[in-house]
Amino acid sequence: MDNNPSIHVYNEWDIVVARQSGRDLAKSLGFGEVDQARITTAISELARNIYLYAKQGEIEVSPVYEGDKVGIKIISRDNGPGIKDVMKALEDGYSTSGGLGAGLPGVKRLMDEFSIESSEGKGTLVTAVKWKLF
Amino acid sequence: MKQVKEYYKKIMLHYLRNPGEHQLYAGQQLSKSLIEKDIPPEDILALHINIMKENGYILPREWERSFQFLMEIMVSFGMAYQERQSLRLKKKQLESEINVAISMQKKLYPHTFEHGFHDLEVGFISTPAREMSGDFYYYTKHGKNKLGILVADIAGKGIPAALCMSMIKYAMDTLENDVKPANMILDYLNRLVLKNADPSLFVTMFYTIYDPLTSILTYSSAGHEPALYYQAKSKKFQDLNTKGLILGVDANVKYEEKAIQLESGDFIVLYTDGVTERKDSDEPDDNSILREAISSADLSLPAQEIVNHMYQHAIDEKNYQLDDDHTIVMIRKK
Amino acid sequence: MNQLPFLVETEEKEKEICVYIHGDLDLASAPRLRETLLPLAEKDSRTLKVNLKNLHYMDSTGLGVFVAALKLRKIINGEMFLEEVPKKIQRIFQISGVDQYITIA
Repeated sequence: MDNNPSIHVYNEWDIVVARQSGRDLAKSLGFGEVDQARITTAISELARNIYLYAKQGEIEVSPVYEGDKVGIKIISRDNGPGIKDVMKALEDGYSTSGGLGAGLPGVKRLMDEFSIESSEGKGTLVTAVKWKLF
Repeated sequence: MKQVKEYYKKIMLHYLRNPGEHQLYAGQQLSKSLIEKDIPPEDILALHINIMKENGYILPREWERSFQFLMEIMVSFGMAYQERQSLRLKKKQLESEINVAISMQKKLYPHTFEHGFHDLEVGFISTPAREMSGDFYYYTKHGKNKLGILVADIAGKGIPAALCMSMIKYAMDTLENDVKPANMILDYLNRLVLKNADPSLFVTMFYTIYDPLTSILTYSSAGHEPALYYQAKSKKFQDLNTKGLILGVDANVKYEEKAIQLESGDFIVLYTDGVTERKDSDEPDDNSILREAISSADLSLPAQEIVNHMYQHAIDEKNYQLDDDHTIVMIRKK
Repeated sequence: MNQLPFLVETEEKEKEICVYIHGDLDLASAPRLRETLLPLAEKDSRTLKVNLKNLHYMDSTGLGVFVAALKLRKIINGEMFLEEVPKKIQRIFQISGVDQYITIA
């Protein structure tokens, strides 16, 4: 099993590849159906942001361990235009999805841990983790 | 959470064995608590499927797959729902902040104008068209015995108008020991408003200063409706007006001041344009509404009752459609 | 009480721009007048002639738009005239003192 696949996102089809990779890993780590759906949705949103705004970037999915906790880590990386006002981008109602609940605030809700680094002209890096509940 | 799951299981299984409206109603009530507990739709779907599986109901392969598909769809719905909840909370917070602003604004207004140091009887009424009024009325004691009274209309409603209003109130409070004439007070406020308020804001104001020792009432207007002056002896009306631009537009305006001497029973009425406006008439608005009301009033009654009568007459004329803030202040020499 | 629909029309000529305002100018319609009138007041050096023949009603928000236009005109030394002002509307400009700053033809 490939532990750290880094998927190059360049076109819409790559979003599907990223999703599959995330689902495969989540399944293998023992995440339930619902959590699998949440994780893949989160990957999908991040990959879609890369595709729409940065034109290209990378999605990396890997397992994480902390004590006896098991989780999945998603890293989304691009050198795109970056986000001018990160705080605003994380506010509900400002999301690029136009009030459909998705975008970065959506990803933040789906995952347990979330961090973002971005500034205008400097690209974007998002890291998110979901822990498996026993 | 576990309790809720157990309850869901119970009613659903009951429904499967005995389909009836009763269980569906119970389900409806349950869904309210699921919503209250913020349980996302995808969790409910998973719960539903697990209950079926755990209780021996077999799902054909295609159905199972179709539910996996449905699961993905539910995740997005769940996200949209949570965003909506979060926005509703934000809206509530904003509303409560506005309520705080409204109650703070209410504290800017005086409760009474009557004091021992002057011989005036004052009646007043002010009703906002919406939650926050653009009309302001206030009094200041000038020196030992003089009484200054203002009526103002701040254009541009809501919070910016309220902020401007509080600025005017505090400015007037600093003038307590000042003996500036009425027109200089307008000059002072004009520059204050110009400097501090939003450029889209302007203020109309009528300012009067009464000296009980001489019974002389001086007045000055900044773009405000003329005051109505009633002389008790002759029973005649007169409009009191001075030339002056609305406050907050031009720093170099010179305001005029005029004076009258009041005799016992004489009174003046200050008001805002909402009172005298006649929307469906093509004739220029004048204060005939107030003149009519006064002519039909019992002037032996206290000023407050006469003011109430004027107000009632004005709103009757408009068929109770109040599109603007209404303010009336009547100042009568005892 | 009838509420007339609000409309702003502009007619551009060589040395002047004519703006025609129809209907009720109030809190709801003022933004539309602002959108049309203020950019002209701010940037156009031609004489601005505003015709109010069909202006039925104006409140303080409406007056505010004219005041804002005035201020902008002053900055570029542009001229602004109000034409065919109904008596009812004229009074508002008179009481507010704005008639000393805008020429009412």
